Amino acid sequence: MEKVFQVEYAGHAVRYSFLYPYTRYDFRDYIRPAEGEEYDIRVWPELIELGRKLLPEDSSDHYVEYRCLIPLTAKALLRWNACIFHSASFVMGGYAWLVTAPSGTGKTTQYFNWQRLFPGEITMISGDMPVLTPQEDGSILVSGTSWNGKENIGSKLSAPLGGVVLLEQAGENTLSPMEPKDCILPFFNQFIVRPETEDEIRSLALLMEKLLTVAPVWKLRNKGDDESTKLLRGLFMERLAALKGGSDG
Amino acid sequence: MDKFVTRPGVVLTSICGEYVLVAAKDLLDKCPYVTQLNDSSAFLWEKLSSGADVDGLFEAVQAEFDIDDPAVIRQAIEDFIRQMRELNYLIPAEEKGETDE
Repeated sequence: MEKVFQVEYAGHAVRYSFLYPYTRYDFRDYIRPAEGEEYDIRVWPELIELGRKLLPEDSSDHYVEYRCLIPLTAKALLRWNACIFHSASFVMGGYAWLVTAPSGTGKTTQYFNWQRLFPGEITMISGDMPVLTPQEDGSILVSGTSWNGKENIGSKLSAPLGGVVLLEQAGENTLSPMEPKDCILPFFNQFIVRPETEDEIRSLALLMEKLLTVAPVWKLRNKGDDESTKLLRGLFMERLAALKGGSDG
Repeated sequence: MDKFVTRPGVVLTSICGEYVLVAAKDLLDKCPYVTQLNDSSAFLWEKLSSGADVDGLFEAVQAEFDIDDPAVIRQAIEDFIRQMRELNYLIPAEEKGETDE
């Protein structure tokens, strides 16, 4: 009998059938056995071989499967117009804040700087792969997954989205607001999915529309130093004050 | 001019008032994943998707936009088709059947 497990993302259950028994331990804080034999996601051997080429040579079978499940989960979430957005996400003041950029740009550096400069002020939701889920009240809920980047920092916290920063490395620290039209191309690449059907494309576009409507976006060109983190903090504090004051800032 | 049609699997959508072409995953090696279009290009894409040929595009532009000079309209249509061909979002009409199969 097929063993099926499920993980809930913002109240939406995704059911997994694993190729390798140990993979469920990679999900250990999030997973529970599911009833029945039906599942939404199962990795196939050819995908494992493809995934293995993108990971360190000594990666175990279950780890390769675990990583292959990221885009498959992102795709499964599209049925609720939700998706995984490649970013560091943390909670401050009851809202979630996203710092997004291609890998290696310094997302986690900003988190570590912040924790060192202002200890205990923020808590990571997911260091790498939070889920964004539209809510009935018009907000977007940011919630954690077990994929938390190489530093493996995350929590089971979730919070409504407050704002987004697109990070770029630069020789100087500068902060500037971004228009939605300038976010569309970079953000498509930050969603961990390549839609396969017209319905999936429209679901992703709907989520992008909500994201860009709900949350202001800024670009932080930065050196990764303490000053850049203070700039980021000042921005989010200002936005938080606007949210708490009932204005959308 | 040869007849071109929109490539199956490429979807025109709108995000925050901006028109965007998004290509489905199986077109990964054929055309760009995402491209933004201006309003007039989106208009022409929609007409092409509905089956219009170059003459049909010409008539649609004449009816929709306040442009008196036919040469300007023809040039705009040619430029649009060339750009979309360069990005591989359009295919010759005779290939459409093969792609659908």
